[in-house]
Amino acid sequence: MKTKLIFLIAFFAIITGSVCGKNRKDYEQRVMETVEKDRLTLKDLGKPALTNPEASTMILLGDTQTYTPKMCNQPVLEMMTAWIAYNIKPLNIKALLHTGDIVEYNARVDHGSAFDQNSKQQWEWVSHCFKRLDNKLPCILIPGNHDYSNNWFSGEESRNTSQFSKYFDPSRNYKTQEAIYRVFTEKHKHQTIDNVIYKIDVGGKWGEVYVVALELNPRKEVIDWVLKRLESKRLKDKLAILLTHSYLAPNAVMPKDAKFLWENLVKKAPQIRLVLSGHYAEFYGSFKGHSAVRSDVNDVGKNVYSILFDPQCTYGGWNGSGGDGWLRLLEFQPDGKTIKVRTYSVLYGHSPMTKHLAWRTAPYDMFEFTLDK
Amino acid sequence: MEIPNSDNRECEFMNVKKILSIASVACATLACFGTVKTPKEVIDRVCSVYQIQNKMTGAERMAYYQKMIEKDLPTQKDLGEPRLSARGASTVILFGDTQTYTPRMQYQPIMELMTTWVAVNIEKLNIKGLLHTGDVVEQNNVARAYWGANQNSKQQWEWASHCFERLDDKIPTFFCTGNHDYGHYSFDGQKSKGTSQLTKYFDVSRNEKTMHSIVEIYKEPHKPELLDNVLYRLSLGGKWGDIYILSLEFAPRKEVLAWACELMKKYSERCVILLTHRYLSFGDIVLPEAENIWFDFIKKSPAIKFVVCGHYAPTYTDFKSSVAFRQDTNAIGKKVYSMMFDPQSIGGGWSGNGGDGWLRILEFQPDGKTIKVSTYSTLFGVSPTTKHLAWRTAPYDMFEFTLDK
Repeated sequence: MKTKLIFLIAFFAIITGSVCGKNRKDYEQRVMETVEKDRLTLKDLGKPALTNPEASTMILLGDTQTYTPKMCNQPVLEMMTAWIAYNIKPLNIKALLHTGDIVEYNARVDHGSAFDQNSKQQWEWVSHCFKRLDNKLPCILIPGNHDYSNNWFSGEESRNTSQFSKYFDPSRNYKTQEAIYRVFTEKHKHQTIDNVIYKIDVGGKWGEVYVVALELNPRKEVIDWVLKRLESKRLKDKLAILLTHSYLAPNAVMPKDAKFLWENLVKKAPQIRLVLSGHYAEFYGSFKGHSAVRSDVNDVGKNVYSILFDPQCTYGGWNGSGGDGWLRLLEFQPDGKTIKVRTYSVLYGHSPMTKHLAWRTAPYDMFEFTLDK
Repeated sequence: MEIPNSDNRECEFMNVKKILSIASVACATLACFGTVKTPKEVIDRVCSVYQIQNKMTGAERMAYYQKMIEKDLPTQKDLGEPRLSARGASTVILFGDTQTYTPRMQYQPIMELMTTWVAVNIEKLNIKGLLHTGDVVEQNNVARAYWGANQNSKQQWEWASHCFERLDDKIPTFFCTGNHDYGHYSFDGQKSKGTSQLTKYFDVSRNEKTMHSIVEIYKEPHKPELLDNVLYRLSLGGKWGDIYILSLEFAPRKEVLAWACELMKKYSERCVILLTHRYLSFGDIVLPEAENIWFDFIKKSPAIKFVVCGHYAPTYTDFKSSVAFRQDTNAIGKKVYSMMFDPQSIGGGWSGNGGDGWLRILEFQPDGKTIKVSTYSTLFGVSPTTKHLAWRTAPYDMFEFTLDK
């Protein structure tokens, strides 16, 4: 809770500073310094292509919230989904994973002073962008803290308030619908897609991979449900990927909430070998401030990798473009155990003038790891 | 960047077509009349650009293109967020041909980046209207996608229409029809007049600001009214008052020019901007095919002070060849300015991204006669990492001129 509080305070201090204009100049200078430093890690590695023609890809989108509340940034998000749709065949894309915080505000009627789009416009825009992928690709999204309540998650009482299930109802995309394996159901309540286990056929030696997509800071009953499901005969020997909004923090630190999840779920479930998350991002937007990778050893002695990817603040949060079109390619190698991670900007990759900026090559942005079998 | 084979074929096909058309028409005109204002060496230079590009292999073409980029890079600067240079000035936004944004789904959202940028800046820049030089889409009416693209005509028109929803009821938008907005792939003779789907997708009922701007429409007996030839009123306020935008079809027919001539007599005291797709070429020459517009119409109509057009930029081009500007003197000795803006091939040629989000900001100064032109990229301007590329500052991209009133 403490870490979360610190992040929240820092977050607000910087927003107020930047929006009020008092620290605007210092702030912009710091942003530009970060830009200069990070620029050295950018390269032109050509058009995205599979490194091995037999491999298959999953696309990882970080938090998209900052693309939505300002009209001028919105088309960048569609650039990303349109690019994914175009590359489904060439990159053999099997699924899209989204780390949550789909929009800035879940249910607000006004748009606030810093922005020009209210919640309805934000949800409708994201939903519009994902039309490019409907019936083409399973899209696995989860709610982040901004997808609950009015502004954002405000305690356990705001569970099930996300509008996400309404706008991303699986009926819109039969590929997602087919991929649903089990849905967490609560008594006396509507079913939501906050907690779902999806089945993705990655093909080759990988076979079926299960994506466990969970709500923000999953409740005890959700964790128990997942453990029970994973113990079933069918999933016993399968690979599972956990997708949840808040887990790893920058510099590969595991905050308290994450430790709870680690102790109660990840460590105990031998199927889970990879955890993907977003949520944490340094406001000045350096690459290192929003991407990290670490590995831990679980109860059966196997490595569990966890990845943080949340480019929402890349260079200046609300003053930036919302994330500069950065997305991740997770390339599942034909050996059935190696995953190559690369980070690509659709925004820069589109123009010959800027394609030299399209790939991030620092060790936390471009790496590969091998899962223990 | 790699170009798939199908794209190469397309470029070659279009190159050949364009070379043939320009070379033959240029030679024929030179031979027949001899009174053509265009010096032969300029036409030769124009032709040679196509010939050079056409002989190249894919790799050579990319190397050639890379050279262009390196040449242009030093002219790109970070001049900060766009703002008005003088209090009381008003702005008109100019879109060049948007055709190349539409046929490939992966590049389509760049066009929406442009319209959202305009929508967001309406108040700040005091934007009064938007001009579009035509060639809204790549193919007017084809059922399937061609030449390595992935969107058919319906998808292309719907996308363009969707992007402009951002501006509906906010500012008036003025289009003219380009060659690609007629026929199947492109204009195929005067018989294809009336086939453009522009009027269907950009019906003015969608935007009350445009609807209320219409002053006159060219009508043909027994045919529906079309937006191909329209006179609009645009209120700029201040010393400018009301100015008029006359939008004429691609390759205007004799009867259309006669109608326009007659119409302009009524507005001879006013400031009228002519918007038509094909007029100037890079190299600052009036295209031989379009000289009749000058002789039969502009020269004789003192109301026309300024001509805006698109259409003519080679594939794999530098900034300089995607624009043109010139000054002529009309029959009563007043200056007429004309300007071509067509960034369609900047973002990777005719099969590239469509033009890197470049648009022009025409700032009408409070003195009532000066227009400041600047060239801005909404694609580069959106991100702090690339905003140093967002302004083109070469003299042909950033200049001002004073209308002869």
